[in-house]
Amino acid sequence: MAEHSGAAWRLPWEPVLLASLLLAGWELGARALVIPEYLLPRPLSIVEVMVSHAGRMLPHLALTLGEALAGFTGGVLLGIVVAFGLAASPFLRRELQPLIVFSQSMPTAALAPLLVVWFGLGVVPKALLALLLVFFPIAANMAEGLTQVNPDMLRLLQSYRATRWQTFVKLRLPHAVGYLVAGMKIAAPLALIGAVVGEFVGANRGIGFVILDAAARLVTVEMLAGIVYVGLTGTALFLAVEALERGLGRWLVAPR
Amino acid sequence: MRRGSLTLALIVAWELAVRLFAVPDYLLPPPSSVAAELVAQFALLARHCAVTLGEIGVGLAAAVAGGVVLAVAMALVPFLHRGLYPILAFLQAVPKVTVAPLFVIWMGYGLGSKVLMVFLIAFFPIAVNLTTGLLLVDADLLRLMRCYRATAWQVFRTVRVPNAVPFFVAGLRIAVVLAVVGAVVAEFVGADRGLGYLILLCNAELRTPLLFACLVWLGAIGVGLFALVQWLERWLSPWARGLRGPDTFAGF
Repeated sequence: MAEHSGAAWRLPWEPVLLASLLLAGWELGARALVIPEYLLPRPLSIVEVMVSHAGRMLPHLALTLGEALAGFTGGVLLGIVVAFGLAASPFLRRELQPLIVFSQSMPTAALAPLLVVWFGLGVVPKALLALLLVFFPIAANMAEGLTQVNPDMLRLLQSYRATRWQTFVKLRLPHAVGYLVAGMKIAAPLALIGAVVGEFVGANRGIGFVILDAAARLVTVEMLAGIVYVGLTGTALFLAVEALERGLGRWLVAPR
Repeated sequence: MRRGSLTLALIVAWELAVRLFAVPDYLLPPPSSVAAELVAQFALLARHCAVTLGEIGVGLAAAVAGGVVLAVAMALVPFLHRGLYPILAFLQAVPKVTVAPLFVIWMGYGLGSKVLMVFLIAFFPIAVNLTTGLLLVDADLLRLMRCYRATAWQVFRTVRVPNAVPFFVAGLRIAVVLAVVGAVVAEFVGADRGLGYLILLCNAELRTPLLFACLVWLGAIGVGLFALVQWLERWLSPWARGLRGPDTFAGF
């Protein structure tokens, strides 16, 4: 988004300043107006709870992260497979497109209770919900990457009498990798959301359970501490995919 | 083969498989009993659907209003843009549905907590996309406008706003889907009516056919809103047909 023109990367001070101002305003406002902690805890007390409850919360967070990663991996694999199918067969493309659009305009998160009926209160329904959320952006992006190749290149390969397989390996696949990574960037936070929403609906472990449990006891500080932990994890996942993107670097074709 | 034959085949296979293996209704109801439930419980479903739809409508309207105000402010004030945009982009990656329990504490089990959730979840894609659209303008056009001594207001009205319309619609398209998710999840966390509440209730009573019927209604809401955005796009920017705005990642 920003125009990085120079080689010298400059610390973006504006967002830092603005965020500190907002947080300071929140802290001071809450103190000045004596807002009760159960309604809106102050930022400092949230941080305090995050530190003091780390021992209890981090194992729950680790479980949620595990569910999210399992769902993410499954969703990415399934998405890639479906994308291959979509790219290879016009019949599948025509038939599956409306189904996929329908399944996407339906809130997938609403399936969470059904998954609990099917697979119980354990880890499986959370990972599956994460998988369902992850699947679509991966399949859609990957299919687009496989099909929207440069027509000139396609013609060039044709004139060299490249086989279907050669076209696939030399042109389509490399082209699709950038799209795949872009899809993964969208999907990474979604995996975490799937896991947390799954825990909202039925769980006795995981950070989603911790958040809901704290809400039931009106311990808002603990709840917000859990939320911040989830937020930090989501950001970390996003940054991890971005690092992967940078690592793949020159092989990527930027998706339009 | 006609379009949709695969969908039809899948539904028939589902019906046959459930009957053949005698799967109990509470585990996986056949499409026929879902259809029967859709008819028999129409009044109940319509009542809860109206609640959810109301939450979505109010929340979305607020999100559009808030998103437009913030986007215009960010487009006009460079400091705000440089300061707020990264924060917004960061917040996109934060799972916003986790805040739903807090909203229930603030506003109770009624309409308020759901509207707030819908607003929060739908606000980001609208604000981020619209800001991008207002700022990502062809530099040549701006130069041309300067040659004609256009005022800032004229540039805004004749260049930036038309340029932003496709971006806005793309953001709205993401936002309507998220809005349904927000309303349902907020109802999961604490509600006494609405389709999300009904789903949880069916779940607890193992009335899976009715649960599927709720999902069908939710799907209909989603598809309807999507179609509405499509129609809005044709109305707002008839010149940009088929042009796709950039998709900002869909953070919940």
